[in-house]
Amino acid sequence: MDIGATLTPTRKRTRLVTIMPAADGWRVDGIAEGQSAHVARTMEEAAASVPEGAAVSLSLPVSAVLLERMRLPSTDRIELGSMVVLQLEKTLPYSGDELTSGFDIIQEEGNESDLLAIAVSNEQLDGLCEPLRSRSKLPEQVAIFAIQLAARFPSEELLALIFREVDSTILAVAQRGKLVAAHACPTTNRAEFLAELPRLLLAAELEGTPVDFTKVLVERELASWMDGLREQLGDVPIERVSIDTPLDPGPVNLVPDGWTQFQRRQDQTARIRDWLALAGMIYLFLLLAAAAYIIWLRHEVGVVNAEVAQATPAVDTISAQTARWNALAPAVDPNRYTVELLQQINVSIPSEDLHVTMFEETKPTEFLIEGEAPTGTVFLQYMDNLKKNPALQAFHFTAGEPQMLPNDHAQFRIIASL
Amino acid sequence: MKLSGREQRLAAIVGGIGFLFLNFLLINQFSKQNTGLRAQLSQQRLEWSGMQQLLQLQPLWSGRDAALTAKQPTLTNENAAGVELYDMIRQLAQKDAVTIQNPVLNQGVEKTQWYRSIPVTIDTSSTWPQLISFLYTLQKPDQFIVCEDANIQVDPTDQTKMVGHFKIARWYSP
Repeated sequence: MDIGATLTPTRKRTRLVTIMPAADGWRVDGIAEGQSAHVARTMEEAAASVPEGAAVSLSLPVSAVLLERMRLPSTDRIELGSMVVLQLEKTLPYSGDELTSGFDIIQEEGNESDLLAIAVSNEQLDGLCEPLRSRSKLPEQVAIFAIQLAARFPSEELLALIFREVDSTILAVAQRGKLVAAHACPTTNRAEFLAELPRLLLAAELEGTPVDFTKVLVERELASWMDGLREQLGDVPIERVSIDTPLDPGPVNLVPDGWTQFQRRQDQTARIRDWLALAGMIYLFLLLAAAAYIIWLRHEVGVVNAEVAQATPAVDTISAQTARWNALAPAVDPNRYTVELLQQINVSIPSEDLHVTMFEETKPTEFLIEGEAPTGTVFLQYMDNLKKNPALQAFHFTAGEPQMLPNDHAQFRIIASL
Repeated sequence: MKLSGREQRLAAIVGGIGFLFLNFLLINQFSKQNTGLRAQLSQQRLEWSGMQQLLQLQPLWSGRDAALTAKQPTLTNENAAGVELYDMIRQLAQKDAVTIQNPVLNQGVEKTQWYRSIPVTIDTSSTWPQLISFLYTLQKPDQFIVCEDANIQVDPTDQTKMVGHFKIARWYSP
């Protein structure tokens, strides 16, 4: 047996829609800002009018629940809950997991509590709320309309409330804002109800409910019934009351555990769907970014290609001019003249004892030097001077091992090429 | 048709593997394209940078080219060109007291893309300063005279002198 629980609203709801029993169907309120309540003939119609993302609070009619007054030896709510479940299991033809129950404490005396136990068949509740479930709009709050209505009048000592609920007329008895009994008469016809009223009062009395009312409140639309009621109830003040105003949820919530789990699963699925959608968007974004990057790279390559292609003729001309200049350099560049080469070879000699014995220029791009150095060190210094000579920077110098002569002089041969 | 839980799991695994494989292909393709294009772009930017540097020197090379075109002599008479060159060499050698021996003229015209060469081959004998002075006056930028071949050695018979073998040419416009 389920003790009524509140559905955990894990996903954010934007608005609260209340569905309450009305004389000829269900009154749906809170659909849109500033819009008056809308009466739906069936729950299917009511469910269809609930906007997406709205939280639903359902008020059950008396005919849909079982009300039983109990006097139990405890004031602890947890203990009372267990006791109520045990009592209901004894009296009702349902197993524990087929019911959802709750209770409202009417009064406490010493260690005892006088309470009203409420039970609803899960199957009946599921059937009633199937249109809401199929639209993933299961109620987060399931209250009892008669209890909510009684709570509006906390100052009345003993109050009788007469109102219509889904093709029935209800006689509800409330003490100081607490519902103590409710009887449904399966008619909304004045004469039939008035004929049934004595039996209803007797039944209430037999259950131990006092019927010496201090006031009787009748649904505003039942004004024509007041004379008949006055005849049967005597001098009790009878007043009309509007019952289509918004009501507090009340102390009892009969949301079955199965709904909570179902809602949790729905929320989890929705969350996973949201995450998958986000991941999909990120994935798509990355794909598009990668594609855009490749397109940009191709574009850049194209741009540079075009620039290169545009500049190529000018560069080719410069290259041809450079090649012509380089080819004619031995004739026009003084640094390449034979006399200039001889001069630089001469100034690079590190010691008077080093003698150049031969200079040979076999082609304009290469020359050969042969000579004798007093030591290998002087030769190496000469090589170093040639390489460091700024006027000969264009040439690449190579030399083999110098040949040592009988007089310990080093005979060398240096090749310089462009 | 509604799939069972086992079938759904199997479908999810197959779908997941397919998705991973597709991603592998995409990443692989992207990586290849990225590497190839970046390398291409880098190489082309380098080439473009080199070209820009060369283009900055365009006035210099155009000026040099124009100077070459203006100053390079034009060959009018192949037979006379060798003689003219030899006469000029002889006069300059006399001025610097350089002795010229074994002159060889009319060796033909060597043609390249850039010039036509009229060479004269001579042997010389002189002191080092005389040879340097001779060569200094011989080669001037406007003359287009080149020592295509040169061999200078200390004279084995007289250590104070230098003997040389030169192939001196004037480069005419092609």
